[in-house]
Amino acid sequence: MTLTAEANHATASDRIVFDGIGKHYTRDGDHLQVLDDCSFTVEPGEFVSVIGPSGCGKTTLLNMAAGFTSPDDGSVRVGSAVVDGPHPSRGVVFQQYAIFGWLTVAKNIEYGLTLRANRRPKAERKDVVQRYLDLMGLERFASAYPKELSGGMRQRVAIARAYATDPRVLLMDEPFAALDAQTRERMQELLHETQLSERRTALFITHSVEEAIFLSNRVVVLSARPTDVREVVDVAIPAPRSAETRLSPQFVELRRHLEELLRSESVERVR
Amino acid sequence: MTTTTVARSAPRRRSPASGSLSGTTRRVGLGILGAALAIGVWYLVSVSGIVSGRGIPRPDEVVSAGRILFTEQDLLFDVRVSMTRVCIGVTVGSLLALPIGFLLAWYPTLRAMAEPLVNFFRALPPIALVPLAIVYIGIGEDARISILVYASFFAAVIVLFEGISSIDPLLVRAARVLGANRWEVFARTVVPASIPHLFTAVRVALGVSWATVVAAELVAAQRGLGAAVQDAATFYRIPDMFVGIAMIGFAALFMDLVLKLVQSRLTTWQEKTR
Ligand SMILES: Nc1ncnc2c1ncn2[C@@H]1O[C@H](COP(=O)(O)OP(=O)(O)OP(=O)(O)O)[C@@H](O)[C@H]1O
Ligand SMILES: [Mg+2]
Repeated sequence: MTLTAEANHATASDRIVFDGIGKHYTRDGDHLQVLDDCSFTVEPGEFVSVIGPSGCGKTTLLNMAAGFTSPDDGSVRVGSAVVDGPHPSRGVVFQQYAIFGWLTVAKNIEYGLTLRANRRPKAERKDVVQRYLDLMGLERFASAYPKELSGGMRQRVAIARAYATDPRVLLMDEPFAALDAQTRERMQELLHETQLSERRTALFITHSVEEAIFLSNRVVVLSARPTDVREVVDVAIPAPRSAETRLSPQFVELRRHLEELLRSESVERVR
Repeated sequence: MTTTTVARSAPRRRSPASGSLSGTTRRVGLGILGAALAIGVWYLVSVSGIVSGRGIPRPDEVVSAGRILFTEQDLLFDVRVSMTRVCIGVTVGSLLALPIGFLLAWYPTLRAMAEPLVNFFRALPPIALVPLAIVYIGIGEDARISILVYASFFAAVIVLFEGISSIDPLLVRAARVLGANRWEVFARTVVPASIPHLFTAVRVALGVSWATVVAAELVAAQRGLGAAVQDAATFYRIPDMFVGIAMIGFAALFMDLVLKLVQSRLTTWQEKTR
């Protein structure tokens, strides 16, 4: 069983296409070409990770898909529509815990469902909240405020909140970067299980090669600036994946390959 | 599913009543001890006669003066008058500051234009405007209230717009990707995130107003705590002055305490940095 085999949530209209993306910034009069003709696609129901040297423009790419930034050249399309602003059909999980401190865990998860754009009846909201509380192991914290939660739990709330509005596409920018190694591995397993049951189209940015392989169907390796796609690597490791998967020869070999690629990009950048 | 791998201990809620009871008792005890020591020192100083001239009254003289003031001269009325003035000033000033604070935080151009002005008027001691207010508005209640509104407004507006502009823009983004429109971003993200700043603003306004009301009453008022102290001074009723000054302190403390209590009730969610 592979992740793409039976995409039940995703339809063709969820394909994310980065098409010839170019982006530059001007800093102190200097022209900084960050992205240059960067193209790749995330197929419906597919989980794709993006790795690349620090500062190569990963967050910029994700922000384009989210609708916070627009490209100078090329376009980002979701389905057939060009992205031109944030939309609840594209859920975002941020690197920092962007959860609402004045709302309880349950209210945080419910937040999107109470907005005009995707309001649901109360009973339905309750079901959805319960479902994600369970899925994220947060049942007993439903009425707790974020200040009472650990970093890992806060990020689970953010993920649950993003899932709750039933977005067609999930965009995640290094959501586990601030977590310790053990929590991080558990979160990866949790996200993997969630992906297996929900099968959403997901774009996941990370610095960790191991995380990328563990979670993904494919890994997009970006080059150093000006950034384009260096290589796209298929991860043909069957799901469900577990802690042991990380030790399998296939996993280790992929990891070695990707680390090699990243290293060569970083060296190039230093030169 | 193997979600059970995730830790699931119930959140530990530190209830201030049970968990730290001994700590609280200790703190209150030490506070009382400190106050008792201060009164003791006061007593010694007053009986030693090292203060030349009229000397200072003993604590017990002040207490009995206070008893007479409250029973026969209705000092409570002066307390109420001063507190009412402050409450009106702070309420009106903060209510005016609220929309302005949001506007300034929301529109950077507006803020850039208004910031030097706001800073100037806040730096200006409100009491400096008393003569001006007397000339334009007269010596009535309106003049005093106007000064207090002025003082509260500028104290509150600065705290508010600095607080509101410091709200994490990530929260606004998070609300937008969840589908919030502009109004919902404002009403359901910016406003709740601003509540702690609103309380800080009101507390700062309260402090400034209290200082201002007393000063204003000292120079131009028939009733109020400042007037009571001034009155006592005119007739050299020194213990009465002490009573008045002590009441000014207690009333200020009381109002701040009430506000603190309301704040801790309404912002239990807030992360304590202390
Ligand atoms: N608003 C901006 N103004 C100027 N330069 C910017 C801006 N945003 C990003 N950059 C630059 O663009 C480059 C890419 O930034 P981005 O945040 O997308 O990188 P990243 O790959 O996510 O980095 P990291 O791995 O450190 O998260 C960086 O060199 C950054 O300095
Ligand atoms: Mg980044």
